[in-house]
Amino acid sequence: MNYYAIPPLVTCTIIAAIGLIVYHNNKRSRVNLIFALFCFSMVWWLAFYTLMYMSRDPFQALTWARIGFIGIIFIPVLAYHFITAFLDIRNRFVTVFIYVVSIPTLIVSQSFHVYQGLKDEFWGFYPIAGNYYFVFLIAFSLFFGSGVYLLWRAMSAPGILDIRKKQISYVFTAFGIGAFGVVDYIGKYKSVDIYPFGYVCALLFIAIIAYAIVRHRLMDIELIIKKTIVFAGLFLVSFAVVAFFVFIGTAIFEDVLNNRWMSLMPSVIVIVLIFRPVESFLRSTTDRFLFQKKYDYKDILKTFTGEVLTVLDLDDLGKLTVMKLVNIMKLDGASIILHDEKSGAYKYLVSEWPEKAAMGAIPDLQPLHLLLSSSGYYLKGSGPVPEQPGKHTPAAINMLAELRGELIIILRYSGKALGFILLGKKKSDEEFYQDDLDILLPLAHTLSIAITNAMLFDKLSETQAQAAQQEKMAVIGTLSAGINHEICNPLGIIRGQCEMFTLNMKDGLYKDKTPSELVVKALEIMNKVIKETDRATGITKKLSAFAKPAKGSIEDDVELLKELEEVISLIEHDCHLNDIVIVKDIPKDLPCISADRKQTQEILFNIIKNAAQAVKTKGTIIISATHRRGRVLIDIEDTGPGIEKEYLDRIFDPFFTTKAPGEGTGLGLFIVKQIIEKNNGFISVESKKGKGTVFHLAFMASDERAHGGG
Amino acid sequence: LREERGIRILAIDDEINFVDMLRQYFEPRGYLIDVESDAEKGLSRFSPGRYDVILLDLKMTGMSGENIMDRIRIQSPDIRVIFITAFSDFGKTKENLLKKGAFGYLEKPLSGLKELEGLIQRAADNIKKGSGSLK
Repeated sequence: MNYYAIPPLVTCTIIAAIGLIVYHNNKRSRVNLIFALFCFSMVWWLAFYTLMYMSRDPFQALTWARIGFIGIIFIPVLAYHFITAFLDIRNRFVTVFIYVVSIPTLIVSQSFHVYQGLKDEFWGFYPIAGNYYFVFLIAFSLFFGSGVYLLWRAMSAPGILDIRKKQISYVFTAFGIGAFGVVDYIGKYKSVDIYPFGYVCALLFIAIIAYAIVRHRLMDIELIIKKTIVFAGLFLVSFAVVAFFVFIGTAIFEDVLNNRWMSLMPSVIVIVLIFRPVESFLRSTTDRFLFQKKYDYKDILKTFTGEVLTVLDLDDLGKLTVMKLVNIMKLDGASIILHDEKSGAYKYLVSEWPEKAAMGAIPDLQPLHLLLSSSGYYLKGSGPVPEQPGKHTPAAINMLAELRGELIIILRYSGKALGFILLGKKKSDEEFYQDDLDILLPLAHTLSIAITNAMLFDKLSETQAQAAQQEKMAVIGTLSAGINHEICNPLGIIRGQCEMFTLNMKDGLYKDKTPSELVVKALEIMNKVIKETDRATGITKKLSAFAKPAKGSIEDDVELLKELEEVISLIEHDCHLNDIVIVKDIPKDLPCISADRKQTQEILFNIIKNAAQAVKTKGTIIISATHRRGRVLIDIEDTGPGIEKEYLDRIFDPFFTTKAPGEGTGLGLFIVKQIIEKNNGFISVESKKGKGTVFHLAFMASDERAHGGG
Repeated sequence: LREERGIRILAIDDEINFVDMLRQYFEPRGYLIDVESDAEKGLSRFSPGRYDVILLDLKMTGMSGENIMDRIRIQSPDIRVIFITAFSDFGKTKENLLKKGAFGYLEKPLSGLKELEGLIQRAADNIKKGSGSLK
């Protein structure tokens, strides 16, 4: 056994695997096909060289070397062809030319012109270059060199996409390193004694290409490395097992059974038994070491959970989840289907598939009900997931087929089925493994909670919106009815008085009146008309003041005492006439109020005027203020008759009044309350029949303590 | 002719200028009209057989027109009640009151005093023709 034959053999195996997978991944792609052929040319070369190294017979070895050379001829040709295809350079003439040029070499390949003989080196037999060999060397340098040049040119072209540039640079590096394989050719000259490490270059070449495939989506296949390692690992294990049993078997059974092949039986059994565990082990190992970033599912889950639980909008939640699933797991598509309890219907919350087909009608309810009545998941086919009894009911399998899904996970929260997640095929064509379910099941549970939350929130905000709308409608209703009442009454009087006078004149009812008596009568009516007109105007003025938008966020630092004095000066005279005393009890160090100055005046004026009207004659109005926890609290107390308990609740309602028509509109306190609330304040009322009324006001204190000047 | 009519009216509305206007219109035309701007005082003026038609405002301080109608009709079920109001709620209240037995419902401002007079006439005729028709 020549151990120098092993490295080329291993390299050969790996290259073969890569070539096959690349080809299998997309059989229709020209680039993939040519790459596979390129790999095949190297496999050819390495396979026959391995045989050459292992040969003990020089004649046999030379034959292997010459057959192997056929592969070598096509390495530069296919390299060039691959590069042009990869760069999408279409030049059929050049392509045909390089193949045609190789034909003479192919013809002479089996003669002494290429390999004239063998030399016996420490690594085994090695061919000696013949007189035609230099022609091949020139062709190799030309093809390979111009290929690498094309790559370099494409790489440094302006305006190239970043990812494309990276891809090309990897291919460039790979071919650059691969070029060192020329060492093998030089070693074929008699005078040069150099170990042919060309296969190392080939291996490096493949490694770089594979890395580019994983990292930079070269040729659109990402999982090649994973599959290759699994494949190579399985191959080596199988090989080892077979070798071991062949060795043991030959020793033990040969005499007994007298049949070499019988000894292979136990190895076949062992391979069958260990195949799955080994595959699973290799897969998880490669996942862990090579795809750590991609499959660090605990991190994914943690991030996702954090995100998903903060989303309270059902649609956003669905979109986020599906987007994440499709991107993280690289799926064809995914949907979330929810079950509406009320209507019993199923509908897509969100569906993300490249083809709209999956968005179609949701099939029969029966299988869906069956699905929802259980828990867990349903997986298409008999994948490596341990089967659960009763999981693969025919109905469920049909459902999956119809929904075009690969995996269904039931969304269930506190015993209630909400719906399910439907996942499509993985883009890599892999099946769903236990690892995936380890991510997906807790994720589905989290999602169930989030969906429940979002639904509750939806319901809540809907109720709130309804309540707000009802309140708004109620206010509008009250307002419009009130406006109508307050305007139509004056209008009724105006029209009635005028019509009455006109009709009385027309019907001769004023016949016995003197002209001056009539003028007095007419003047009386006109005065009423003017008074009622003013009344109606007053209401519209008040309303428009109420509807006026707030000044904005600009707030004044209002000195209560100063404003109070200004307001009191307006009503003092009236109060004095009616024997009403106004008492102020405002501490000197009271902080300013953070509110609109004009509006504060309006508030104070309205409440104090109300108090004075309530007292009527002989009484006291006490205005006191305190400061507590960043708020200024103001009490306006009167010694009036107090308010009836049944009216107390309605006192801030629009158009509520106990005053006679024309005396009050019932808008005063309503507007006061609105203004106070606009200024981040609060108002409440307290009253006892026969004792008086207190209005409690609260405002935000501004930071400044400015009351020193008074 | 005026004596023949002699329809007796009680008008209650807290808009004093309104009822005053009614008085100035109906009195010279031979109606016997009493006006009152306070609901409770108005109610106390009433006694069975004293009036033929009652004119009522709906929204008043103290007592609503509907309330007054209810109380009056206990004493004299055949009394004709006409509401004159500035309150409007898209006919809902009107419908309710007419169902309850009100004879008429007019909105302020009145489209014409003649219209009101016509309605009062019909109310009075209605009583003469047969009080039994209204239950």
